[in-house]
Amino acid sequence: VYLGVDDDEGFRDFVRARLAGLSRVAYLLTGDHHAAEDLVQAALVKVAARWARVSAADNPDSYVRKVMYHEHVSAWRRRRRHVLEQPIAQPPERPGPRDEAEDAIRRLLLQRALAKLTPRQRAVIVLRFFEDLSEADAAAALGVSTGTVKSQTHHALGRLRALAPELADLINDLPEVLV
Amino acid sequence: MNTLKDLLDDVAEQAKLYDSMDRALAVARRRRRVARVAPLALAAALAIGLAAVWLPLHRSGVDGDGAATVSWLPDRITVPKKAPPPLPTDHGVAPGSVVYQAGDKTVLVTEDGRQYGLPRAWTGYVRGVSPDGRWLAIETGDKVLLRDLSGTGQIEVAGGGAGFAAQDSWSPDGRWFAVWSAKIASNTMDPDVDPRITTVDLDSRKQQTVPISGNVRLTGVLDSGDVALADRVSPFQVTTSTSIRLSIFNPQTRQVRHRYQIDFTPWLSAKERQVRPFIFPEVEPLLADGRTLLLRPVVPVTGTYGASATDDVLAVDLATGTLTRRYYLPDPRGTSSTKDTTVISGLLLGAVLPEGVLYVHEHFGGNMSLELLDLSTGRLQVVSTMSQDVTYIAAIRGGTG
Repeated sequence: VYLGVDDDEGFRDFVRARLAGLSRVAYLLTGDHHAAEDLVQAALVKVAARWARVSAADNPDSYVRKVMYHEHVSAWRRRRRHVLEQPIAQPPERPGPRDEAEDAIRRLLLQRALAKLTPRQRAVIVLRFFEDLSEADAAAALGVSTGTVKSQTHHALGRLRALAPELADLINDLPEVLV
Repeated sequence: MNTLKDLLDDVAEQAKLYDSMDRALAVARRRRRVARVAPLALAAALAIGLAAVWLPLHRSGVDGDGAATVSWLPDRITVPKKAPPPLPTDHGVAPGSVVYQAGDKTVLVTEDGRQYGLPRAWTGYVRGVSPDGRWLAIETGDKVLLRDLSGTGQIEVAGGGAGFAAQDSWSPDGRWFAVWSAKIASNTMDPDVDPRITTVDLDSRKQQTVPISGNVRLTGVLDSGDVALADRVSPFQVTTSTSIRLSIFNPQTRQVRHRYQIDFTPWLSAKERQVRPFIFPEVEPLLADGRTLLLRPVVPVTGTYGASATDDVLAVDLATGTLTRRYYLPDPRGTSSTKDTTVISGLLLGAVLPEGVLYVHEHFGGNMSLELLDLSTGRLQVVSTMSQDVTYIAAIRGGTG
């Protein structure tokens, strides 16, 4: 144990309130439970190491988000050699039997398509359409320009449409597609 | 299922609760320990740059001419493709330089450039490498183990038993090792049991444990065996204090030799004084030569994303109570044209060496590097780079737990 066991309640409270949300984002980013757990842990280590500053920041949530998305991209870089041999994440199982609910099939199609996007493309999809962030906020989270977010979103949606034409109706309804 | 968001929500519903908070805290605490520096190792540097000379306040240069080096540090640390051999148990190795973690593997780099895998049980528990590179300190539950890298011997240092918190430090010459420990009850320090300090004379292997009252922490050990104690600051809470209290304590006689109280407010710029500065826990008071203190006050920047300001370091002469120098370090958020206000901090203190202060520089989405602040010139230069496989630095020679 180390000094501070009696002082970390602020951090614990912060994380407890957000763990479910962080877990959901991590799973969407990685598509894999093990990788998602690693991602959450890696992000929390960074946040904890600077907790005093983070907690005093104007918007600690934004900082945590940024750490999470950067960890996602950099972790992928670290594993790049490995990735050449294996997909970024475990591909989802093939769609189930024909009588399976349509929603479940579409969910699996989306998972499979997401797994084939680049980490950054996947990140912009999650930031823009799951977290509902503006282009500016998504750019801040990724540390890129809004122009990059626009182009990455455009490419990501185009790729999703190509990978999962069955979902084209969802994608075509998005205003971002009208570029 | 009407929108892409609905479908993403549906996928996200499959997520479990990845509750790694405790593990993250444990790792973060150990990473913090890297930032808790052997504070007294600066004597040589100060003899050159600080102790005897009043240096005017001026902006230090960064990345000047001439490459900075630390003789025992490799220029680059690369994780080998093949797992390195385990640390031998039948013979010694060269003095240790750095311990890094790559994934779940913990690796010792010695000054001859060789790498050795450390036992899996030590992962996350390496506390430090002595200033001479001879000893590796490992937390082993209820005690600290000092492993002699020059041979196969080891010393068990009385910690405090299960349920104790601990903090340790080396004297600059590597002769003394000290552990501060306190009993923990119900997730907080037990008020009925005084913390204690155990010092080890590594020449004679003699250990001595003395109780130490008060809400203090160990900040360093002098070559004389005296220990430096400062107010305990929470690693997880912000403080608005602008002063540091410090004492020099002799464990043999159980006497306090000196007491100091330093208010550094006058040494901040007018703009910085407009907001009350925060001293963050990674900002350790560093007693350099028994009279010089290094501080890193952090001034919050309002209206920006983060609370970070600079990584600047103030050097204070305890004898006169005067600021000897302010080291201006690069704004972690970048230059004005490329400023990234989402960056909280760039530099984590790694170790205080005769050559200067060694920092671990973490880059968002990039590789880590070790950077040396030369205290005589104020220059900050990269002395070692790392491949991206390096997850974090667990220990640096001269750094402490």
